[in-house]
Amino acid sequence: MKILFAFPSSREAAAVHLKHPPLITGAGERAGLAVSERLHCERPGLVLLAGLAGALDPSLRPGSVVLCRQVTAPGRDILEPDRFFTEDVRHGLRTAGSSFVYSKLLTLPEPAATGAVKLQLWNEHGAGAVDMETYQVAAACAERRIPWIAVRTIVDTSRQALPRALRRWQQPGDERSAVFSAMRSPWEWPAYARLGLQYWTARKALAEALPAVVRAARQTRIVETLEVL
Amino acid sequence: MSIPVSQAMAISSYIVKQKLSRNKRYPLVLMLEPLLRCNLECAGCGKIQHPEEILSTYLTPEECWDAAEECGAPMVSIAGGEPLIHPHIDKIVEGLVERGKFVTLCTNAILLERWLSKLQPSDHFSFTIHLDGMRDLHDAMVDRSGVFDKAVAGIREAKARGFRVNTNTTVYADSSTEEMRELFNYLADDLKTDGIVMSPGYDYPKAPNQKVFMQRGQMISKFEELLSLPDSKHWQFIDSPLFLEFLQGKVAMQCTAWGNPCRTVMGWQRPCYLMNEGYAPTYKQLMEETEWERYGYGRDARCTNCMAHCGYEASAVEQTLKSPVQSVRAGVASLFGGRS
Repeated sequence: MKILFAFPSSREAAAVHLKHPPLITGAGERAGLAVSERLHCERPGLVLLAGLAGALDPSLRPGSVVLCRQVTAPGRDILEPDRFFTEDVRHGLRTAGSSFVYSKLLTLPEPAATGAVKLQLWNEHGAGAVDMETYQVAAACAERRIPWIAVRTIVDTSRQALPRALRRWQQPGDERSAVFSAMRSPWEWPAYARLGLQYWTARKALAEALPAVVRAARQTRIVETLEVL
Repeated sequence: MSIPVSQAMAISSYIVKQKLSRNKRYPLVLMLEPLLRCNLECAGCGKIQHPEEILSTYLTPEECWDAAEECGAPMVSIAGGEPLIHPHIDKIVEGLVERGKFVTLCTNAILLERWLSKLQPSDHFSFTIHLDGMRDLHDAMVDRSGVFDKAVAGIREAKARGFRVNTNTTVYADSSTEEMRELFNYLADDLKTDGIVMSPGYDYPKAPNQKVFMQRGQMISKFEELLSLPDSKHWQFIDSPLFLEFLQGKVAMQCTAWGNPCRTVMGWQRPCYLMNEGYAPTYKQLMEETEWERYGYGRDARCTNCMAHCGYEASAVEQTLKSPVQSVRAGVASLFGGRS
């Protein structure tokens, strides 16, 4: 079985060493389109979406690993990953002693910027973490009946407000304007520094979690073409 | 005072000890169910739907004491079923108090007056009497008339004999803000009970009336409305200030089911007091073998509409300890009552 590895950005993909280039989806609707296009050309046995996320669950810390149980988006139905594969991975991770939570993800068109917004989203949706891609990727997979699973690691906590420039972040290309904006607001530099450290923690956790996810899958499923590591 | 100073001090020192020993998960309250038989069949109860052989099984006093020692929680909440049906409930309470536990006996009070002469008032012991509303609402929720009057008589008699008496109110979809306001004012002003425990109902799949349960959003609106009433400032809640804010949707918390482990006649119930995924034979096995991260809001569909105190009070304690301001608020509230 072939696994298609998908990451929202090349920065997130760079956290792990892959034999073959993964699919870089981008954020929002673009993510769904990217996956649809790839699935038009090939039919993998599984799509594995991996990346970073913000916490809504107050018990999650930077670097916490979230294995997706469900994904939702405002005004949309709930989508579920491949149940059997997810169960295999969940059991495998637990047996291996890996620390993770098995929770719901929420996909939004923009970052969840403040603690108050995150609290409202938590009360309303009960999602452990928020991202900008999983729902679109899951919908694209569901449309073509391709099983999918998603793994996220946490960057910012549920109470943490993002620096102002990052609140408008949409795509990797927006980083440049964010950097310029950050340079003009030195009072936010401590927040950027903190977020930077959390980003590296999350990226490291992703690098550690992803091989463990694949190893867990390997124990219970026959994976013929293993592209990772 | 909402709880005795000795209890506040003992629990604080217990928590500090757990923190210093870097215990990630530790019990705060042992939920002890020495029997599951009850003399009522309340609309929102999912505890009593068991075969006759289980309803006929009672934990012995020794089993209850062993459970308390095995678990090590400083507080024990004796629930059920109706604990006052147990023929040795007095011995169970006495033995737990002798072991230094802070014991509360949760009862519908139907049999209370029969037992009062056999139990001793103590700063380590209190009654928690079930009252879901004033007469009409309470009797409707417990599906029997006369129970409210019996409970009120029991509260008066227990108070007269020097017992600490708290009440436990489960808030359901049918509990209107006005009815709750009337009840809590009555408890505070007329009956002068020592404290109120308030929690939303858990949607037990086996409960006789599924219509009484609320969705999470409804719960938040209801508690926001109730706790914004001016009267609410003088209601002496046993619930921590942070838990009350959580009920109003003002703070986010994740469930810490391990804070209130439940020992029933069938063993240590997994994973919590409300959900049942089997039983561990020992407390150690319960703590070590339960996949705790799998449960909680967002993680398990059965937890979606759960905001019960048995899952979130331990979370509130954890969160309170992380904030000096919250610690002071909780200290003031527990010693002087009311909402700071």
